[in-house]
Amino acid sequence: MHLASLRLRELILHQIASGRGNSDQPPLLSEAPTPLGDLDRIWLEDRLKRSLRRARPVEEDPELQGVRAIIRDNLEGHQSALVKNSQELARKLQATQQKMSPAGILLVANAELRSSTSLIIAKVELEEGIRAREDTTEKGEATLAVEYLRDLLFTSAARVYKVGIFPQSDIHGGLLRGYVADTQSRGTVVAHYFLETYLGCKFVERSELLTERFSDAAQTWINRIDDSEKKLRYQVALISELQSNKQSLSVGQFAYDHLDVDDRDEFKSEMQKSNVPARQFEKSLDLVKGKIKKVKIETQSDVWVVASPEAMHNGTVSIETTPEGQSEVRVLDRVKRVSGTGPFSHSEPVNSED
Amino acid sequence: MDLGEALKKYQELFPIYERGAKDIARLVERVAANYGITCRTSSRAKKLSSFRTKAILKGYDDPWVKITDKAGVRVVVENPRQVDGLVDALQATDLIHVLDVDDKRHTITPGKLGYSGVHLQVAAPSEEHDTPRIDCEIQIRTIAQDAWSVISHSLLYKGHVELPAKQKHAIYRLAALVELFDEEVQRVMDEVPHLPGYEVVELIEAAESEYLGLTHAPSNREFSAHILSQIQDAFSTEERPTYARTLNKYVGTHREELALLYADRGPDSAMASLPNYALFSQAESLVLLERLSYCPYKLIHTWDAAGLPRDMLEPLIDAAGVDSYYPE
Repeated sequence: MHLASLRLRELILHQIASGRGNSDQPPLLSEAPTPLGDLDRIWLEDRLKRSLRRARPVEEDPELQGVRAIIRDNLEGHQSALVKNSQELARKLQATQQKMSPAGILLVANAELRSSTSLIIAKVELEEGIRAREDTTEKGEATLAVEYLRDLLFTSAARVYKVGIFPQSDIHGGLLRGYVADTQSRGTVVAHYFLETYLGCKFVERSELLTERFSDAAQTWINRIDDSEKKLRYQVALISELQSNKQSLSVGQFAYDHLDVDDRDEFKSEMQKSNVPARQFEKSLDLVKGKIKKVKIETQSDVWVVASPEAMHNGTVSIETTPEGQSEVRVLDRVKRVSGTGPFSHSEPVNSED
Repeated sequence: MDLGEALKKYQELFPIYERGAKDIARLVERVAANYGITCRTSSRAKKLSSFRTKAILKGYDDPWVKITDKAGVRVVVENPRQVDGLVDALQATDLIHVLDVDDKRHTITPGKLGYSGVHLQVAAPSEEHDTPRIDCEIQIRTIAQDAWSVISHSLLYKGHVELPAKQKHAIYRLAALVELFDEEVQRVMDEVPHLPGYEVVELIEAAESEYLGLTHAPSNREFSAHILSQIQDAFSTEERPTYARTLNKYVGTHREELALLYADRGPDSAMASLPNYALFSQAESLVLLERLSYCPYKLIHTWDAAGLPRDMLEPLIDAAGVDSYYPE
């Protein structure tokens, strides 16, 4: 996305009330853009970049309504209408958001990304904190007084919760395209109301395709490793990751959890080359189910060992590299059955009387 | 082409040779920087009067062809190894076409006092281009060879007086000193990289050289040494010898983005007063940005393992928009 090139040009903030509906609790609308000093602008840019790092590509869905027409209008030469357009965006958000949504601020900004005119829409929730300041007691003693604040925005540890950016240059085939992140939601999910009902968009890439790409690219990378012990360890990790109850996949998290430090950057780079996205995405196993049931070890002499990831984890099957550079695969278990083809075309238990 | 025709042609083309010599000097500087070679260049187009004098004194039948140093570039480097390095680099680049290499260190007669640089006869630009192609002589010397060249020109070539034995002896001693100087410079330079702590100094110099070009502001060396000495594990043994070139390439590729980052967050910006943005006022921030771009895991792991505060690194990660490949 080249986030380093992101620059805010003009922004406006509107206050959104909690809950849905705009009759009892209408949004408090600004009538002019927010004046920005350099320090404010850069601080906001860096906070927005931090959240947008997790954004996924989206495009407008012609079957949905949402605010896509307003975004397009703003991008296609009506940036001067930021105040009017953003007020409409605030009213729509107030009318669309969930009944339980807390109060917050809607930030709408004209920006540049990769030198392209862009529009940023972000719903930011208010944070709480304490401010300490120098004070004096009635007796004239120096002390620090504290003040409870509940209207903080963009604190250093905070993420801008729901954020979308739409560059004009990304409009493709007449369709609005952009990136959306919801750092408030669990894992990779973007709140349905925000992505579809409000923005009128859908994800460009389906989760099952991304999962398959992740699985294939990781497998290709693992297959290139020479060290057989490491190769098996990573193979087991990949299958375990895919089989786990986790709802999402992430190149970074996988590397961090399972790979040696010196392998992580190369893994990241290879995944990037295979177009596996940097950001976390939802895991969907529809297309990889058949590939993740068993770990298969295949040797140069055409010996195969097939095992479940559990058998690898609990030490039933292990692999070591000998000083001569060969691999020693060890199976510590009770043999239940031997089967084969050709001269041994029938199968029978090994403990038979014959 | 006789002298008259040659002079007429040279007079017409003189501005092209003058501009061409400057362009080639800049090109040499760029190639040298890419190879981590520090050099000083000067350029000139041969004066018309010198062209005429040389043609007459040498008795050339075709002065236009025979006088090959109509455009000349002089390059002075720090040590003999850099002479070889730059010759190799210029032969490898596609930007100029090297026609001939005259290594005076090999061609001078033993025992005879002489100048010992390397001359390259080149044509530039190397391919068809809007700019007219010219030939040019590039002289590459060490600082000591350059000093000897200037002095010996006065002492030997222009002298029409037979020097007495005592003065001849002094000249031999000076010539030997030039060789000795270069050899000792090279010896010390070869030994220094093996001294403890040198790798940090090398990183600081590489970073400062690029940082100055972007911010025009110096940074605190002690602070740089503190940070860089603790992230040494973020560099592999293979990367170290050419890291200056790696950093130069990174800066060249991302110059526009970096210029914006430092204009907004650097030493002269509003953000300079924020403690967590302190690294933007330091040259090593460039090294950190390059590592974040190339091997974020290794850098962040090394940073955390050294106990350096993550709060200082985060603004660099945010500003550069580093992909979220690593867990936050």
